[in-house]
Amino acid sequence: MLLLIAALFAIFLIIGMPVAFALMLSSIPVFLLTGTMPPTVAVQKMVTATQSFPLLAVPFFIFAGNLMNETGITERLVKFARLLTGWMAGGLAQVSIILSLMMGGISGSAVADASMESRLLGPSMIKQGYSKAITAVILAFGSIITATIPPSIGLILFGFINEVSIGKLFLAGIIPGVILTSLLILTTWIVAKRNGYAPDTKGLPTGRELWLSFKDSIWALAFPIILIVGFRFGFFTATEAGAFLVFYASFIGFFVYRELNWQKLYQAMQATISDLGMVMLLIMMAGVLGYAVTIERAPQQITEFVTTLTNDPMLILMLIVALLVVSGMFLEGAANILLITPIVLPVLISAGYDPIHMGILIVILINFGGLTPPVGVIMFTVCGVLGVKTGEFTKASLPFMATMLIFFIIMAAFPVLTLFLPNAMM
Amino acid sequence: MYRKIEMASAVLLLLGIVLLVGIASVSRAVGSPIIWSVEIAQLLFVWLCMLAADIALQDGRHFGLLILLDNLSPNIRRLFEIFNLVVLMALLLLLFTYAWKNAILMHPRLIGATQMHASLVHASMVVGLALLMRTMGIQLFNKIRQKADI
Repeated sequence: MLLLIAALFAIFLIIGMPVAFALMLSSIPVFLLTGTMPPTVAVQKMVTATQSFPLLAVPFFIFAGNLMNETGITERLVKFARLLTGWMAGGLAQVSIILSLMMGGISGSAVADASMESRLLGPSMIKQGYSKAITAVILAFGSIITATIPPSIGLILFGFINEVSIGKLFLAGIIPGVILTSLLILTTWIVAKRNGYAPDTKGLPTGRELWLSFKDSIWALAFPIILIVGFRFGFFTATEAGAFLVFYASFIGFFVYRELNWQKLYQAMQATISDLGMVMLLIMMAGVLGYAVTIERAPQQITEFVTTLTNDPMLILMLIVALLVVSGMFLEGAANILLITPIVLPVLISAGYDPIHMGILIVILINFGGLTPPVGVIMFTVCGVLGVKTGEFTKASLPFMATMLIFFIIMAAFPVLTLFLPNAMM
Repeated sequence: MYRKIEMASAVLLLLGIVLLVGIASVSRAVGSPIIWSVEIAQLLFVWLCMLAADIALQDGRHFGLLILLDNLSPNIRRLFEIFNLVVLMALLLLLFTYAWKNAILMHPRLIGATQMHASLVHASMVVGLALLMRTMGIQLFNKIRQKADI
């Protein structure tokens, strides 16, 4: 039966069925054929997939991300990022990386970040003489930072489906996010030097300029700190923080920056609903498939299968990393987290790995899958906006792939980098 | 017009959830929690999800793999797309009949602090699947007509 599910899923994917529907199509035979569960249960599972309080964080953080651009928050962060890094070699590219780090504190989606930045910074980068492919690569890789810095939708989904503390995952993502940012800045610097890309601004910023711009963006920069303090002292849960963030961003937009109006607010909500519909249908359908494979005892069977292959924790991790890299190449991030992680996480835990550590690794890996052919949602988004062929993108991305590999090895080898903050603070 | 009403309902649901969760967390912090807030927020959310799923379908946001389709001749590609839509229509119809039975089955059950009928929650599937079928039906109709033009 498990093989039938997998085979059907693969066939439906290949003939171009939307992923969400392919999930349902491949799980419905379990209900129709085995006779142990009536198909009404499939419908019930769609409902129960939504009936979770932690999951409400998803619409809130998507909404907040969509509000950023309408409230003038984005613009101020760009200005601040320009002062911070514009003077380096490849200045504008560095700006985009720092921007991803700062935006990551409010927006939770790498795809959203990549699409926003490629519209906002992409054209000026190309005008300054960057090759289109390198521009696309830098913007796309930078957006991965967003996926590790709290609030990250990938981490929320991971915590939700695997019953791991979302607050701890958020804390655990901070240090990796900062390390990734530094590594990407270094890589960009090397690439820029080699291609002779000029700095964006003339000379270092003055302390005064920096201070004024910092003061102007303080509202946005303060949010991740409020979030973490709130978690630490138990003022709010991830979901409540999401609702608070929506109020916070609207308040800043209406009363502090005075750039938000009702029409823009309505636009942000419309965009949110369209984004939400995509993610939630996936989650609902994945809920049904998740139930079907549990009846068929998939996690146990896969754990048994892996342990017959090897008992070495290191090899098990490598095996699962390879699986995730492959599935990340074909499936979109949210689908991947919802489908694959509930199956592989028990294997990793029984091999002695920490679920929080693995959560961060897996979410980074899965987002990385969005940058590789044949199917990479982040790659498609950026290439679509800038008009770059995916082949050129892949060729230009090689140095950054190497950076990701180094980053990944560091993260896997030193669990303390992810576990330090959650252990120290919670 | 139809889309406007659907979007406006979805926006109202989203707004309702944000306000409800926001107010409930404040009132919890000051010591008088609203006991029904979570279940009402979740009730609104399941309705929002189904409306949003339909809006996303109209916007073509439910992505799939296009490697095979992109490498087919336009005519064969269209056949594949029509086949997919027909299969999906059948799937939705099947789910719809079960959603209908399920809503009736759930009706007598009273849930949570509000003691509302569970069918209020489960009826979202009946309506949502019907909306999805309508949108997909229109897409199928357009696909077939488009073929006849060439």
